Amino acid sequence: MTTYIARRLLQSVPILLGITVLTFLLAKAMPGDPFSTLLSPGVTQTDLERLRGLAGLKAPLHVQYLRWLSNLVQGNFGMSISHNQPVATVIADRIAPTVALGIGSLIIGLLFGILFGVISAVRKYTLVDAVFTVGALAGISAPTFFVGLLAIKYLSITLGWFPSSNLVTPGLSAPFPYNYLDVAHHLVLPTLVLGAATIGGMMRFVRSGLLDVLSQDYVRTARSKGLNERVVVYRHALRNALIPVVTILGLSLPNVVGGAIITEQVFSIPGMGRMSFLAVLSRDYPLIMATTVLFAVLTVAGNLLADVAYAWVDPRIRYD
Amino acid sequence: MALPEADVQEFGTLQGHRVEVETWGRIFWRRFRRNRAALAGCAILLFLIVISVGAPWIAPHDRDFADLTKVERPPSSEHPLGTDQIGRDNLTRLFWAGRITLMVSVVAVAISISLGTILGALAGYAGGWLDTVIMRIADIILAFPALVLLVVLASIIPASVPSHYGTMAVIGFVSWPVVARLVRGEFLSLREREFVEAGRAMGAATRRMMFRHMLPNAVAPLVVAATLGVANAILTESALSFLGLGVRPPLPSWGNMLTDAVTWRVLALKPWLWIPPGILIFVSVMAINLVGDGLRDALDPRLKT
Repeated sequence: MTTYIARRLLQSVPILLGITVLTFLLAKAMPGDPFSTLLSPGVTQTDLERLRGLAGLKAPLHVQYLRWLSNLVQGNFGMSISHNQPVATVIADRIAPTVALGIGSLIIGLLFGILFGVISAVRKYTLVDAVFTVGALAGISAPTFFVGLLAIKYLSITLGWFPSSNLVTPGLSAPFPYNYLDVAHHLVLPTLVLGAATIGGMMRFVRSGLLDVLSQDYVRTARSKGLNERVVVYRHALRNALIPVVTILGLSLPNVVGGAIITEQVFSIPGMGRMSFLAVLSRDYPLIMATTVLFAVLTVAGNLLADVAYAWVDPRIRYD
Repeated sequence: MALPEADVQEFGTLQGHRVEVETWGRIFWRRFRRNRAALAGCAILLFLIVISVGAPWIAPHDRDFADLTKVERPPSSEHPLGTDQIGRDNLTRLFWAGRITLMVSVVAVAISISLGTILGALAGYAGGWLDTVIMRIADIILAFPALVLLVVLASIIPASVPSHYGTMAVIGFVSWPVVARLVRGEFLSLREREFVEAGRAMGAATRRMMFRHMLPNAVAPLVVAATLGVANAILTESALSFLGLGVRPPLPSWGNMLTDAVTWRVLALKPWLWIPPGILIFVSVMAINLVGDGLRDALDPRLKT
């Protein structure tokens, strides 16, 4: 197992390098640079060129890349242009709401997805199964921004149960984290919206996995031994059906941080997704590059975690 | 064994006995026909395609004509879905938006399938360093969360390129690694089959081997992937357009008709502007998913019926 992990870690190195190269090239390919918008009467082109030279933008491409990369691995992510703060501070300030949203929706998705999946598989061919299956399909077919807008319109504006946007009520004086109830109240709708999409996918997965397992011979043996159907399903079949779910958990790790761009935009939550989107719009290159690399590294880590967890949980797999 | 006449092609005679064969096409069609949900999806899809293709002719008004005296009117007999922020007829924009959204999605999937199939087939058949290089590049692209990559790529497209072409290219580029992995997997297992060994022994050239012999056997999962890919592309395109980075105004797209709905004015007071496009996105994606699921079940070689 350790050799497998070591080997996978080694294999990730070229991928991580490739990620940094691609991110750098993408950022360089964007039209404009931080200085092209500094237009005021006293600023001439020569001044702009001099500023560019001072900022290191005149150096050959590979030199710029290596400079950026060496800073990156030392933890220096640079200075955000649009926020005028170090990139690390900007990210640290905004990561909490996104993680809360991501973990909340993951928990909802897991809980209800597994629950509905099991019910649906056990009661196959009944009305309950049909309703859940159609519901799951609807969940994965509905665009998240549309569901979010509908939720705001009906649950927030019409019914008034939840606030419609932002993280805190303006005017409430308690600083973070003492205003956690208010924050939680604001996060209910976005979490529900994001969770609904996850529920659909998870439910279909669990349902098909459980159906596969329930048709296996050892389940027939358990039943013919006279075991209670509940015991058969929950103690024997479900464990094996949930093995792939472990993989999905690992693969959902990057989504916890980077997957909520649309939900955050709809609900105006000051999180990572919204920040990276605004960074792209304002051409804030250090921020764009840092967040993109962060998301990609998390994806690679999530994949590795998923594979290792799968190998650990499933005793049939030997990765020597 | 007596097979129902309609599903059987007469193959000929062999020593005086009639030989009856049920072709793959018939088997597939029979299984697909029995899936009512998939058929419903087909019907919905057909309807959407008809109104999209026919948009220039069946739309009641001109698409871009902005009548500033009729800004944001509620639905009326003349404008069944009301007018938008600058006075254009909403129903007309809805039809045209469907046309553009579906076109962008289909072309994006076509791009990703073409690119992915060629690269995946090469990787799977050739093996060695070519396989490693192609799969590493695919892994790198797949390491980025899709939306993040799309947002960054969409901002790179120069302003001179029409936004719908740019969106097609971007979505197609982000989706090819998944197809490539699929095709590579299929080719890796097909490579070991006897007919491939026989073909190579007979001296078939690599290109002929791949396209004439191996690819037709890998088509089934590709068709399913293409169908589900169109559904995914519709969702992606509408998300990008909603954010303002996909199809841009004045071109209508179901996604960008929802961009203004984040404002309280449109959200609460003018639901006729944004609810119809949202519903249509949902309905079209659901229909395509139903058809895709039906295709997958009908083409699954493991099922016995």
